[in-house]
Amino acid sequence: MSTLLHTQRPFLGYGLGLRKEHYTSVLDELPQVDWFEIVSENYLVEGGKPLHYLDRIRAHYPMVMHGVSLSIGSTEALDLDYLNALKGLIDRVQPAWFSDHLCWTGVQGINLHDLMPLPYTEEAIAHVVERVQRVQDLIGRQMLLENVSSYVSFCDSQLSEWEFLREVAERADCLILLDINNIYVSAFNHNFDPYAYLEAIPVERVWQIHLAGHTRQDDLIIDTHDHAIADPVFALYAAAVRRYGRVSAMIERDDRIPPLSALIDELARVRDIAERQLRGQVA
Amino acid sequence: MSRLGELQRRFQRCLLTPPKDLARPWVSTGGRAMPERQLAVYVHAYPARLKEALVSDYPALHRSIGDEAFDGLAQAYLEAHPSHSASLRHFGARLAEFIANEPAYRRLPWLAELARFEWALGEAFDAPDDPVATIGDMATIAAPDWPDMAVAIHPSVQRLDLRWNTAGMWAILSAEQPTPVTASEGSAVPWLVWREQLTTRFRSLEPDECAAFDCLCDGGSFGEVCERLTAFIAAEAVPLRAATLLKAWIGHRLIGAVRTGHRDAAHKVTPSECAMQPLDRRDAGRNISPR
Repeated sequence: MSTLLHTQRPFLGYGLGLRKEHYTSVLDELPQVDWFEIVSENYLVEGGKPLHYLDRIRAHYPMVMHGVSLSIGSTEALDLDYLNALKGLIDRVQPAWFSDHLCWTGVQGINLHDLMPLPYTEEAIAHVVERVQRVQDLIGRQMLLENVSSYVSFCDSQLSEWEFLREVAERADCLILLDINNIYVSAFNHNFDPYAYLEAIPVERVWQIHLAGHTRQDDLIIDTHDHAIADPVFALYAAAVRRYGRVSAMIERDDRIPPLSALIDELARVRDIAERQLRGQVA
Repeated sequence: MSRLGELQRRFQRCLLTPPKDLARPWVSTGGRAMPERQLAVYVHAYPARLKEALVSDYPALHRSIGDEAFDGLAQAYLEAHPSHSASLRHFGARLAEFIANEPAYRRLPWLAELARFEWALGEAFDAPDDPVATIGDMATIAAPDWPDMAVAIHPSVQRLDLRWNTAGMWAILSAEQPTPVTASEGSAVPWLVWREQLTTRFRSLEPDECAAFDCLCDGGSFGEVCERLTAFIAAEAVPLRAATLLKAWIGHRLIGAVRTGHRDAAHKVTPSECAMQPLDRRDAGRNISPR
């Protein structure tokens, strides 16, 4: 069981994913963004612009690191070269924390560069837990695991997604990055209640929240990160704040990237919703 | 093999070699979409995402043949060379080699060279920020030490020999409003691609400069560089030409650590203040999107 206390959770405020399109705006304007999340792989390079801007923006803002290549659920061996490079970047950035996804990205030496879902089985829990523990030992700190959007469900699954995520987090003693949009997307795709998901996740483990836009098709919702956050996702976020309290939250935007000012306006809405919920809680 | 491992292999196989009928017994019918539709999301996203990475690394090549032809190239390349790296950064590394060896692209004999050139720009873009030598560093080298002096070439430097008007084509294809461009072949011309601070640049080399620079790249000393130059110019003109070249290379931030025969330790070098007109600017970076 958890040894963490709710009060230990740091609160960074309201942040954005750092994208290269905004490097110069961020440095020129030093906008009212509380913190930035970087995609770790974009900075696992040896020099040039990415690291130049990273260091300069880091000097002004708190950061967290978010990876896409850990492949924690793969039955392939952990990539120690990747982990060592990640550790080097962690030393450089000194992030508040680092995270990756509860998924796999390839087997047999191949990287599909996608966040492939896992079957929700005891076997997969045991497998992931052992690997998370090894990663945390190697990096020397706790990591956050994020729930992914998924489009496929497996006959093998014996548990719900939220039971799976909770079990992994508790047994591995890791933290959770809860992507509210991903819960919404997967709930639609797999016919489950997104609010039941929120209720099942242990409050003290949720250290970060992701918000993003998606694309609705007839029979599926795809997590495209190319639109503004949809209203039902904002509603789900409000419920998340009511349950988890003050959690560092941020917007991910990866395609059709608007000017920084548009994302800052959207972030103001995130902040407003959260603060209203929190005031309501106090009252 | 574990049940989990077996499932992952089956799933991956569907992405690498998609079957016509995507219905699979291991996909649940419990989802909102039909099982084959569930899998199709991943099957379609995989080549699209990897192609996007290639477009990002080869924007001029993409423009040169158009999206449809590039699509075919990306698909064929992906089948031959799926990504084995944690980062998409390395996925396109073998595209030039692939094009050169693929009979289908013989009708576009300039294409492999354009790929090689564009990849070199990318390699320079995020190469290590090693310190560069300055004119001031050279001033500290005693006259007797000059013949044995050797230098490290800065890691951003790429040396290419181009038979086509590739650099010119690249510049036109990279303009905001590209104009028609014709590929033309000639004898091989030596080029340098490198990064000056944050700006990626390229330029061609004169034959004597190329011989001298390649000599340095091979670890040759300044004395050997001078010897190489005697093949091109009169012996009495060599010292001035060699010094002029070295000064230009230092000004362009091509030279890293300097060492002389008498001292093992590299001279401490500091960033140069030398400036030159930009020859090219590559603003593209790489964003890898989490989904």
